[in-house]
Amino acid sequence: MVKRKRTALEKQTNLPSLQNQIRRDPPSYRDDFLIQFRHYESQRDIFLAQPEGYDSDPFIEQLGFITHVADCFPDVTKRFPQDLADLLLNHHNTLEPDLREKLVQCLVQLRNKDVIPSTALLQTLFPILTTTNSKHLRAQLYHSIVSDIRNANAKTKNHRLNKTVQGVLFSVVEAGKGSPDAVVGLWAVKVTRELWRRNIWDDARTVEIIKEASLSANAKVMSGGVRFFLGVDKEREEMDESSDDEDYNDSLSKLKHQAGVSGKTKKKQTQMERAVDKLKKKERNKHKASVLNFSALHLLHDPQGFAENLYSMHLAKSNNKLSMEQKLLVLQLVSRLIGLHKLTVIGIYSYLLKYLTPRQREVTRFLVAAAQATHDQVPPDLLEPIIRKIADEFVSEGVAGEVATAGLNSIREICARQPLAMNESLLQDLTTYKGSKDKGVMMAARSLIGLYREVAPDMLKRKDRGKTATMDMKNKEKLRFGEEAPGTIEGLDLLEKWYEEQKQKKVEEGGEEAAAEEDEDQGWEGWDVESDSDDSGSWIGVSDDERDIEISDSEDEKLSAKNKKAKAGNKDEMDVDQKDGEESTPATSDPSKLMSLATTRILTPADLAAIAKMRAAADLQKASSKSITALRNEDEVDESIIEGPKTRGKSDKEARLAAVQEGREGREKYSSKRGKALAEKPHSTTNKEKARKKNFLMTLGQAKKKQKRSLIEHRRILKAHVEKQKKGK
Amino acid sequence: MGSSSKKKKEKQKDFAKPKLKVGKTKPKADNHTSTSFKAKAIVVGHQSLNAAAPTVQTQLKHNLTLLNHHAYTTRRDSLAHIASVLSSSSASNPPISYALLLPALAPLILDSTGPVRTQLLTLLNNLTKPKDLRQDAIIPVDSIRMHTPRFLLYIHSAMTHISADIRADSTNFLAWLLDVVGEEAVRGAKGWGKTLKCWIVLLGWEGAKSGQGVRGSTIEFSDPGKNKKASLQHLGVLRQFLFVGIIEDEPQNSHFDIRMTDLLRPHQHTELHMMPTTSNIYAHLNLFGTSGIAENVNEEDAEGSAEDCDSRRRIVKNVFESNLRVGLQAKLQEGGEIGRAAGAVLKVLDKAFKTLTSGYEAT
Repeated sequence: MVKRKRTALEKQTNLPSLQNQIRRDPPSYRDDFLIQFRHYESQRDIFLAQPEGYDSDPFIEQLGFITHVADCFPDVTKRFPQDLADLLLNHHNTLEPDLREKLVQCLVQLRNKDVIPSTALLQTLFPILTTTNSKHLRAQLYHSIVSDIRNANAKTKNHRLNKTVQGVLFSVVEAGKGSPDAVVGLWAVKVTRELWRRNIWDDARTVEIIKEASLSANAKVMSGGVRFFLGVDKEREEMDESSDDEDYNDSLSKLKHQAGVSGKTKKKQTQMERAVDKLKKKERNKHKASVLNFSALHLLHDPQGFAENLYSMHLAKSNNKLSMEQKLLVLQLVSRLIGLHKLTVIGIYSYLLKYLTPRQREVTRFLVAAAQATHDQVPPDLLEPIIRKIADEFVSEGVAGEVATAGLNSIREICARQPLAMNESLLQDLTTYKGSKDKGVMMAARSLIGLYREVAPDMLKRKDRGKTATMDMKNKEKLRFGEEAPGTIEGLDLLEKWYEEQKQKKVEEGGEEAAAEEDEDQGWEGWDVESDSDDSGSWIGVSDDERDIEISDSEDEKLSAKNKKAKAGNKDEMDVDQKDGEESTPATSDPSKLMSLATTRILTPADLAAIAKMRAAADLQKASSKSITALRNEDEVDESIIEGPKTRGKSDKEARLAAVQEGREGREKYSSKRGKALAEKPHSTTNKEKARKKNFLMTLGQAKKKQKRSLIEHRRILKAHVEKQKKGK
Repeated sequence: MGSSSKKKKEKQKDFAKPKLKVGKTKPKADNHTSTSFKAKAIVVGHQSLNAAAPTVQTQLKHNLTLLNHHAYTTRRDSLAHIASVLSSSSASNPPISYALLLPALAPLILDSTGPVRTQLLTLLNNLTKPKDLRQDAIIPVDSIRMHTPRFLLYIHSAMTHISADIRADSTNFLAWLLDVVGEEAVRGAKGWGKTLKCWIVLLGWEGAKSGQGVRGSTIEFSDPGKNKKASLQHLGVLRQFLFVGIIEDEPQNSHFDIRMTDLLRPHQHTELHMMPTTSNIYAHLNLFGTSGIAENVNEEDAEGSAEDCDSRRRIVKNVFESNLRVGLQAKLQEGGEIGRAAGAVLKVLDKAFKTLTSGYEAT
């Protein structure tokens, strides 16, 4: 009652104060709100009667007010969001920029207050995004859309919203697919790309949208889609790294210090809390297993169909108007798809053939594409013309060193993926370039030799084979097309070796009986819920008991250290004894033996961790030695590999001087320390300076006297000098 | 040694202070710019060479633009100027088109300063009402009628304005409009339903229907000094508004006049089937308007077609009557002048619904 009286006496003169009061006590101010709402309606009607030349300031203010308090009176403002949306949709091209901006803001605000759902907001904003002429509005809409989806996915993934939005985007892209003028899809691609980059969308549906966009007839939409596939993963990784780099520790310590120094205000407290939260979150993220990050290329449905469509739509047709750059992008994507999924797109090899000449613009990228499009399932007949053409066009005596380098390197890259594409005589021709004077050519030829030493030494000339390759030759079988090596778990050989070493150590130490068992149990520690929660006697406990019994059975006979080892091995693998005998041969030689570890025991998480660690170490070694055969089709071929090492050619004097100057940048000037020290502070004239400036005539007499000195006098002076030097020390 | 002292001297020279002497001119500063130039002629790019004074028309147009001026005195003066020019001109040959003048005047209903609004009201009253019965008004009724929807829009806006002064003045403009154009002001969704809604919120009777009772809301008490005067005036205008809206004009001639009814008209309700006399009777269908924001026609039927008296009465009965009655009863209980005014409004309501029920009985 008291409150009502007080409010009644207050005079409502401006909207901000009324807004403040309404927020505090909505029911008491219902009438005031109603009158303002009617005012808004009348303002809107005035606006509609005369959309151009309308003084929008009071209307903007009114809109802001209604939006702020709309959630207090849901019954009255039922139609308000729809009104705004209609205004925007129907008049966005004629509205005054300020008013338009305000309308978008109001809608976003209503969304933030949960007055309207996200889908309603996006359904309003997206059509405008694609139709408006105003750049400014487009930017605003784009940001609102992206940030709205981000917010919706901030805590947990909002799958329903994502699905609907993705559906909308998909239909937008699909609708404009056929016509070359429809640029609507561009915005869909942009939004998708942004959300993918921020790790908000990472599923196959997203990729499907982009896939559809890449097959669009419009060149811009298409290249947007293709770029997504080519570059987006890299972008994403960079984004992750950059967010990691942000160092909150500094700001935290600063805040802590400030909190101690100056007064304790609420603002500072909240700042502090926020910083601590961030830090905690960061810590948590550090320990969290990384989120599944499938590359967009891996998430594709039907990569074969996609690659074929891309090729036939954008490359095979001779009448399309794509620029060279766009064609190259498509080619790059198609070749990556072929290499990654081991697809068969036969047309691309003859297509490439056309462009493989040294005079072709961006020829290195075509060479890269040729290398990427090669994998071990490509028939050698298809690749042979390519290699032949590269050899003819690029690798001959008449061409420049760089060209020959690029040719040889690309031949090597292709042959590394499909060694059968090469024939013996051509290979032997190419290897003669190992004696070239150009360093790049020489290195490229040598690497080709190195490659064939590993895969097919018999194709090389005898003197090129080298010792180890020659020795291995009798074990090597001839390469055959389509032959698949039996699959292995990578790094299993390393694990086995490690086990052997461990055992050896145990034997040497005369270790305990159940060393290996303990080992294994430790491996499951923290992974097996049952064994942790149930200490009274789970099946693991039982198995331990059994082992105890077994041990007690064999207790009567004295066990030698050797037997102990064998027993420990029994639990792990049945045929460990046989293995011990073969220990000397390298583990990689026999795959069936290799797999025995995998078939006889279950690898514990600890084992897997050990494998990862050992593989990392092995990879490091490999990286330094750079084996060519360690190829992975997932990786793209780097252009720099094809180009070879860059040599600095002869240049004019200015260029050389510039290079010299560049080297000098940031280094100290060479001069005496004493001189530098003197230059820094003001000082009196040194003796040296004085001597340098002494009048010539004054020194003349001294010089004459010096010449006339007798030998004895000279000796005395020298002696005195020596004495002086000694004293000085 | 020698050179260093020389350098020192050179350096010192920069900081030497010039000696000022009495009777001598002050030495010029280093950055002094000489301005001692002479020009033979000064050329002005553009110059109006119109010797004659501006015509009445151009002056009026200029004054129309001044209606948006930021200084309220300028706005008021230009209004006064327009009024004086128009009052001395003849209705048949106006110095300015009313299609330009009236839309420019309408937004001033929302003007933030009182003097401008009063000036506007006097202008409208002087120019649109005939001074005596023999004479026509200076601005013809037809042109006002054409711009009625526009005036209504601004009156609605004023009736709901946050500033109490503008709200208080708003009904004056409504009264003026009712005086001048009569039934035209209450026709259609804009004229009737919308205005009634504005009335309800203006008087703070929104809660009456839902049983919360009439509350002495902040709206009404926001200006205690003017409150009584304003509400008295509001009630008077409300009475006029309802009277124009829901009380049918008495038929000029009785049914017994045989000359009028049976001979000339083939049917008893001929006038219902004849061509309409008013313009734009299907406005509520929104046939030509923007499709975006349709009038919320269905919202409790408040803004349905209100083209004739019956439909207006129906709207009041269905939607507003309970609110109005509760509010008016409360005023009636206050007694005094306000009570009497409220009683008058109630009488209008009663009369209207009596005719309604009697009409139903008759048919």
